[in-house]
Amino acid sequence: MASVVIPLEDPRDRFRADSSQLGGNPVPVVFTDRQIAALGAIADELIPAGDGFPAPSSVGVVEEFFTRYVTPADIVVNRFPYARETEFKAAVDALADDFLAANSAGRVNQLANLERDEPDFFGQLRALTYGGYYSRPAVLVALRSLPAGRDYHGAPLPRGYDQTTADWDDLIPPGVGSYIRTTDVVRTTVKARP
Amino acid sequence: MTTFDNTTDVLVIGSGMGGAAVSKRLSDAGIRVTCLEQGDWVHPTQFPHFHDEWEIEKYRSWAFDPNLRQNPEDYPITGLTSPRLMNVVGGSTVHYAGHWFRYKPVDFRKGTEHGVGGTIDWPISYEDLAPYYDINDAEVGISGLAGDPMYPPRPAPGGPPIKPGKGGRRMAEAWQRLGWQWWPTENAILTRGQDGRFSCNSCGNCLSGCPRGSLGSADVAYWPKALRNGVDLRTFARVESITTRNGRATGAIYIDRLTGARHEIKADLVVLAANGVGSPRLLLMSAQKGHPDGLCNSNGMVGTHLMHHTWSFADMWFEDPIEGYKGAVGCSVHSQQFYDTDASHDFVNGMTFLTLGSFGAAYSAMGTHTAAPDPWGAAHRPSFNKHFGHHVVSFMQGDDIPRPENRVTLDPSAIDSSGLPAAHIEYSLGENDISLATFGTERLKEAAEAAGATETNITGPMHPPPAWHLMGTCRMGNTPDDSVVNAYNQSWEVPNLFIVDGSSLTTGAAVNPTSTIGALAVRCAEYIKRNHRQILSQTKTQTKELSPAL
Repeated sequence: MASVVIPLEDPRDRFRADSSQLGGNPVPVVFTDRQIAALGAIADELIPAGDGFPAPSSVGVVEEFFTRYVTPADIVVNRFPYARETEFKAAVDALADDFLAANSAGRVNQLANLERDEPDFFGQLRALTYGGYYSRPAVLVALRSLPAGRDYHGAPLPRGYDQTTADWDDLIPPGVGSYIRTTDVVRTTVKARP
Repeated sequence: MTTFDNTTDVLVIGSGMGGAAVSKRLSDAGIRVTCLEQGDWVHPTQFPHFHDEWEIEKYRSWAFDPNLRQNPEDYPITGLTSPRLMNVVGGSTVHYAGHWFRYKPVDFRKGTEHGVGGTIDWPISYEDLAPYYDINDAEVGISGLAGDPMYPPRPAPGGPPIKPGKGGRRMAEAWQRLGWQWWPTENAILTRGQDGRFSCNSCGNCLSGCPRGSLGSADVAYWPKALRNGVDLRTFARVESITTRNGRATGAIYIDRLTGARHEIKADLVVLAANGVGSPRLLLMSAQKGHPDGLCNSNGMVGTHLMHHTWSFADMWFEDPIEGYKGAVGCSVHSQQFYDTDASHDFVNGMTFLTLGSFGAAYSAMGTHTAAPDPWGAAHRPSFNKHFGHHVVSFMQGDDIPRPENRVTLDPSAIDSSGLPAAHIEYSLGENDISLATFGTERLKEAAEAAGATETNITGPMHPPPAWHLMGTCRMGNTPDDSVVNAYNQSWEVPNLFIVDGSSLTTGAAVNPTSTIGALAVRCAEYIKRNHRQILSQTKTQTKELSPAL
């Protein structure tokens, strides 16, 4: 009677888990409601809504992006934007109350101070906001309202841009120039450097 | 524990352009080949092209620099430079733009032309290598336009050139306005399908690989054919040392990263193709009885004469839409107006001017290739809208001088996941490199003005340079005193050990190196095929003149 053979664990799985993974960390970081509110408010000041573009907090930048690209506390390797969960949350908690209590001008002032005094943390906030915001589907729709973005579709594939990329048409290379043949290479002296 | 594991005719270490081409060509002739690769295949789902997050992944899973990726297969590299290399099947070609320049005849004779620094002539000429360029081009699949008068005649590419997009057109028109030479660039990008690989659909993300197979990376261009020939490609196989006995290579000891077990593999002949950093690292790690300073290093030249090219970038923005997110990222047009040494300059060698694509909205907001991020707050929207889709980048790639002090060494203060020492890079620009790049920067400014750019960010000579090209560290030369390998990539010190990757390039030229690495690998394989028995009986590596004929 044939027996069922249960395969052993594939050791490749371990290496894949330790590699940088597309889409960020498989298990998202969990932020408190207060932290989500503060990060959303920060993102909204970094990229203000308007001119047809939505607010970052309204398109899931924090919930769908920050949570995947802040490195969880139990992950050893810390990759770009080098935001570690414990330190990142502590930094957010430290500013959340004042930031949420401030008006827009006050928030701008606090962010300017943060950029000057804590450039690493500010850089993480900016990278996560810019990277997340301009990858959200609702923002891609807004980008297509720009003359330079009319065909833009975010993820490069599957569609590509073959139908709309400018071709050679009447552009013809001048056909000038030459090369030095092997037998024509001679000692060449250049002028002295000043 | 070291245990005897296997035997093979030829052991190839590394599966990039050099290792893949050698493996395929040797196995075509029925030679048994085993290839050891410390990484894995890139699975189709690991390419970022279908993901919303494709742009931030450029800094993470698809970062050029292994120090940023920090994947288990990567080894740390210390020092100032940021090297571009991948440790996967196909090697760094999985991550390249596909620029497919040949060296010019003069590039093989720079010792004759000036001999500055550690510059020597190659022991071979362009004419010696030309037939192998042709073979490698056909294997990889090339697009371009025949008839460039800046090169000797050669076979037409397999497909028409990639589309220039508005950015390529803009730069070509600017160069033409300046009276400069320009030509559509040859690329290892299919514009017609080949071997089951799709033609390019201008998706704009080449530098993160290509799941369509349009980009001529070694994993799709060579490995399917090599595997059909029966090559034993072992992934997760990290070589710890090349073994020798009585002055001849006997094989290698490798660590199976899946189990941690060490294995010894025996081979009649070894081909090292682990790139311009990995190859000298492995040779230095292979110090053993009779080779106390590392293998092939009795003259102290392993790791020396490192070249990266010299670089200066010009990010440019225009009033009208350029849509640089469309089209192949790789260079569509280039100018070699200032390629040759000019006696009226205060530097030898020359440069190529190239263009690149712009990627997408997030990359634009973060400053594209070299600029600062768009401002935040009220100024963000006007700035972003002015920049996104209005951008072109052009850059100069200069021929840097090979100097012995620019080198790869071992750094035991850092280790890889198997406990092996890191590579360490020392690299600085010499006076000639700075003069050349300063001249090139001025030309970039002229071109930006001629193109009508309304805003520019021009880096000037970049130091440290982006170490995109890893060349010269086991260079080919004319005698055992001036180099590590002879005219056939055969090491002077160990006759049955060949080295064929970027490390064996004698000079860097002012062009991307992969086409030349592939051509050298094909030539090396043909030499091994033709002279297999004689090589196995050799006790001393000969100069080109005294070596068996190719």
